[in-house]
Amino acid sequence: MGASIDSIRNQMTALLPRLRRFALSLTGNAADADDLVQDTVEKALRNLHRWEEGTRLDSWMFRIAQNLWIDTVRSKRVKSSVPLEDHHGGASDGARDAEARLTFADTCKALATLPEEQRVVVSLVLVDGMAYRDAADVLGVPIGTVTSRLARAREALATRVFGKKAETF
Amino acid sequence: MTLSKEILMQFVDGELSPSETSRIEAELANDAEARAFVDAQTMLREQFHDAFAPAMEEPIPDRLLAAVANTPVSWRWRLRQRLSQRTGWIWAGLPAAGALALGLVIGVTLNPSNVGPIATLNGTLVAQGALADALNTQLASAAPQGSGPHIGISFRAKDGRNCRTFETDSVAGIACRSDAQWNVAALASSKTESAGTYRMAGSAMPDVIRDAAQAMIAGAPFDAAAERQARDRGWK
Repeated sequence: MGASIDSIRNQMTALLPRLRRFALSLTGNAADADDLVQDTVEKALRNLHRWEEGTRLDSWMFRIAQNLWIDTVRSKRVKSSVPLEDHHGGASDGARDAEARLTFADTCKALATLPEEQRVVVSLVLVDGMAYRDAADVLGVPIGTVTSRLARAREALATRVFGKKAETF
Repeated sequence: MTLSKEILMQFVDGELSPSETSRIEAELANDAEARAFVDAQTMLREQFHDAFAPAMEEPIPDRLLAAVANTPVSWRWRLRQRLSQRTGWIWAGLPAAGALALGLVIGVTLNPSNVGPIATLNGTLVAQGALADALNTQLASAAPQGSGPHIGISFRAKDGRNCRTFETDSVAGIACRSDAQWNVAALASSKTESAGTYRMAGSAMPDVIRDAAQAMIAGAPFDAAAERQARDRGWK
């Protein structure tokens, strides 16, 4: 017999902290993050028949969230026609020292410089701590794609966060 | 640095097998450049993880809890649930005969109350009443005439249980003996003939049940002596 709707709603409630964290790392601010999570929850429940029972609910909801976010980013870009972020900025002040902890704002700034596809992978693997295989499952791409997107993202982040020093690697 | 950046990142992310991990660890001991790369990437991972960690501890805004609690579920999902609630518990007892399940389900009407030959017990289907009595005592080689449950064949299944095919006025199926009861492993409607036609004992077992039995059976059905022996041992 299928899972009851009560148990599915309970699982979704339990997923909210992880979804909020994921949304925060995608959007970079709390209000947009909660809007994204709310849209994700509503879309998931209204399309619950599309969820294949027996598969992971978390992967499916992360997939919905990242699709919604990418749609939003792309439609905003079309409307404004202005790049979201200056891609040529150097390391943020105070982050040049490799020993310094990044502030939340530094982290968001660094993430905002990445292309969307890379930002999603960083949010899944580094922020959420997913295994590559699970991240590939969320994105519906081969695991090798996750590995290469993550490698490019990390090189860019290391350069930005640790300064020019990282480029010698 | 002879190791690739990608493999060092996989190392940092815990993506490598134990043997690959020890190989990288050994190579790192002799490669300062690779060690520095691993340190930087480890720090990067920790910093991104830590920066967003507080979000996990924050109270969830009410509007999100409300969205989870109150957003209506798609009608397609509800329809599917309703259908599977009616038929799903027939699937529950099907071990090897999964492929036949659809065929078994079609045409079956079961009384949802536990009056009749089949009951639910802890989510599984079990035989009860006159059917359970027949399964316990009736020998296929000496089937009584007239109405009431009839036993078809008895056999040992591949999973080691003793199983018997049966037919009542309304259903036909396979029951397998577990410690305390007869679990129904397959079930179908036996009303394949028009109402009023009297079914001969052991006549037309529905094809789906015959096929399911063939899929489950280890060797040949019990002969009269083996059947009697199994009964005398309580079918265990």
